[in-house]
Amino acid sequence: MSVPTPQYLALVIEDDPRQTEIFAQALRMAGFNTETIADGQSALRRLAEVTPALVLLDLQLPGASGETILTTIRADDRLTETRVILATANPHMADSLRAESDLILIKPISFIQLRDLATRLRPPDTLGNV
Amino acid sequence: MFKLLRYFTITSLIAFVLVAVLLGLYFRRTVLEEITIAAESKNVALTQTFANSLWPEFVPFVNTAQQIPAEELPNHPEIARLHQAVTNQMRGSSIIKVKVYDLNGLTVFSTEAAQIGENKWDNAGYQAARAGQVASELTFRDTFSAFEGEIEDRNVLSSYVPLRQGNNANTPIEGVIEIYDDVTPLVSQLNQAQRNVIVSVIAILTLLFFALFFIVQRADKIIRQQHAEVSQRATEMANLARENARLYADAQREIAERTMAEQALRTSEERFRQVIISINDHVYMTEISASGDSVNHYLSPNVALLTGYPYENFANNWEFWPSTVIHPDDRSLAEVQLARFAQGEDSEVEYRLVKADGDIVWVRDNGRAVRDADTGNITVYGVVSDITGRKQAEQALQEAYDQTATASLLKSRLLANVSHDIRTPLGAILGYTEMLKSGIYGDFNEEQHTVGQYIIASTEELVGFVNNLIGQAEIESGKIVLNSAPFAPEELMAVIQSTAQSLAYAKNLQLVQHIEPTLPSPLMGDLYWLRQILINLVSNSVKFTRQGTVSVRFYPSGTTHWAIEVSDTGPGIPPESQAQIFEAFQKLDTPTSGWQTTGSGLGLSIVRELTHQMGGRIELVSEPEQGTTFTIILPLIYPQSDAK
Repeated sequence: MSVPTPQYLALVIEDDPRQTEIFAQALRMAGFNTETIADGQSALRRLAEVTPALVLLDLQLPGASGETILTTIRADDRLTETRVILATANPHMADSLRAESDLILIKPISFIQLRDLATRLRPPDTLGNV
Repeated sequence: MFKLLRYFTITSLIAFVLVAVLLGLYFRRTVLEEITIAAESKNVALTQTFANSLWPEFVPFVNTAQQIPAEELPNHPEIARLHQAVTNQMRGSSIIKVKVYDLNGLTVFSTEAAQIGENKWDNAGYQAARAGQVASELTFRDTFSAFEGEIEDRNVLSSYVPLRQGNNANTPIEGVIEIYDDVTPLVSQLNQAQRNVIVSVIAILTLLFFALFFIVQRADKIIRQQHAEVSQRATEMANLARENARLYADAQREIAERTMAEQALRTSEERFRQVIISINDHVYMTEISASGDSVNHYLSPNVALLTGYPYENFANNWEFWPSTVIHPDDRSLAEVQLARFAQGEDSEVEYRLVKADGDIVWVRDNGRAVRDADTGNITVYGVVSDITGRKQAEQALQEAYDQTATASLLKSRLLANVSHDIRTPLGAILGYTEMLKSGIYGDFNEEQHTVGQYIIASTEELVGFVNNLIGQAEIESGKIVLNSAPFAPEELMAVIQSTAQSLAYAKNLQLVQHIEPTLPSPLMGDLYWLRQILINLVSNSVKFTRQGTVSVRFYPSGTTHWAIEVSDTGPGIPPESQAQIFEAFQKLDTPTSGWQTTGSGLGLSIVRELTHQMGGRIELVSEPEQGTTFTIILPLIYPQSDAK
């Protein structure tokens, strides 16, 4: 499998560096350019600047909560195409956010599974952007 | 009954007959006497005549007769001559016989010749005449020898008369003459007169009888009438007496009944008192007047035991209870209760009492208010129970509950933290091992691949265990809340990838996943808990199957349900164990079962509980060595549980 030329941005918002590395690796293998952010406030600032195709969002974050970030994304007209994968260690935390999210993954998250699911969420490649 | 008329009739008739007979007899006797006297006078007169005329002729013969033998005397020549002389003199009179006696009693002459020579010395009549008296006797003769021969049926008066010379009373008696006078006609007249008298008397008496009869009859009638009246009165009196007796008996019975009733009442009161005393509660009856005044009508003696104050303090002083005994901090409660009673409402209040010795007791004051329809007054029937023990127990229970709740909360937080803290490093183990296996950090040889697979499978097992532990805790605390939301069947099926795929791969088992195209999509349900069900079923099958296939299938079950079917080619579950496997912490670890003793024993218990909460059911088909099939049948739209 040839690695496609990364043309879509994926933000990995996760405070645990080991998880961050695994998630970023999986998303890169799914064909995304990745950028990692470790706290909520930084995430909110960065989301105001870029338009990611995918956000992998840990719900338990320092700074601002994952829920706040999700609400911000869904309230932003610029980010209507952005797919959101919620990652949480608390199964019930995501229950009320099911409608706003595209996918909920309960930790521990399989690297393989994330890679495969993210591949499906990646928009089709556009000629000319190669 | 008194038979006056009959008695009168009988006695009067007897009396009348007696009177008539007696009168007749008296009349006869009187008349006979008169006849005798008259005849005697006649005989005396005749004797006078005889003495004057014939006696001188007789004297010589009489004087010599003594010397003549008696047997020759009747035939003495002188007799015939004398007989002739007497007959001549007496002819034409009623004299029918004449006899002459000398002074020795010798019958010297008789017109009946046969009697001459007889001695009459012993005859009373002769002796009377010999003494100078006249003696007469009236006799009835069937036959009689008269001058002129035999005559029959005659009443004869015979008189012995003394004979004197010249019939001078001063001359000595020279003989006795007996003259028989025939008085039959006189006696016949007498008999006739007697009959007339008797008839007359009877007639008079008869008249008298009838007159009296009518009077008596009238009297009898009156007596009967009066008797009837008296009888009636007597009957009335008797009835009255009976009535009185009955009334008396009734009164006696009523008195007896009342006595018994009073006795029963006393017994009942005594029982009631004993019951009241024997229960520890204090019972009261208080009347609240329309103006708000309260009076105690009854207080059980237990009030003294309950409060330590003497009974008298309460008996006539309603205020004592609320003003002194009720704890000052609780008096407002009692006031509220009193206000409710005054409105005619029942009330139950718990408050504290301060006993005489200062101890505090908790009581429950439970009163029933009854309004009198006439006066409008309220009567409260209340029970004051000592609930100190209960209050203490409640307090202890509350403390224990609080502690338990705190512990439970701590446990939940602990589990949540543990869950989070375990999941994060597990994520690192899982992710890095997968990355290693993926060759990102250089190619693995065969052995390294296998070891990586073991690490991954063990991690998945650990994750499953953590999930079940939390799930069981939530089930036990009743905290499971099902949040139904639409989801794609594929989304549910995907969970297998992260939980069972690795182990199946490690055991070289084929893991088949299939979703029937006819299954509706999206489905409704709580995806999180559905995943728990599926993970547990698939993990079990993969865990216990040594070789072959584990297949997972979603399909519609009828029009109203859908099913999750997990089947394997494992050792099967013995029929006798099939009921047990759904119990929490229950594992089949007997050597014959072929099941390995890994796992917490929580999985199937959680599956069953979740399935039931989702309104579904579990079917289990298994035969030893033939494999096992679990089927979860769920409603296509199961009832929404209450949202938080």
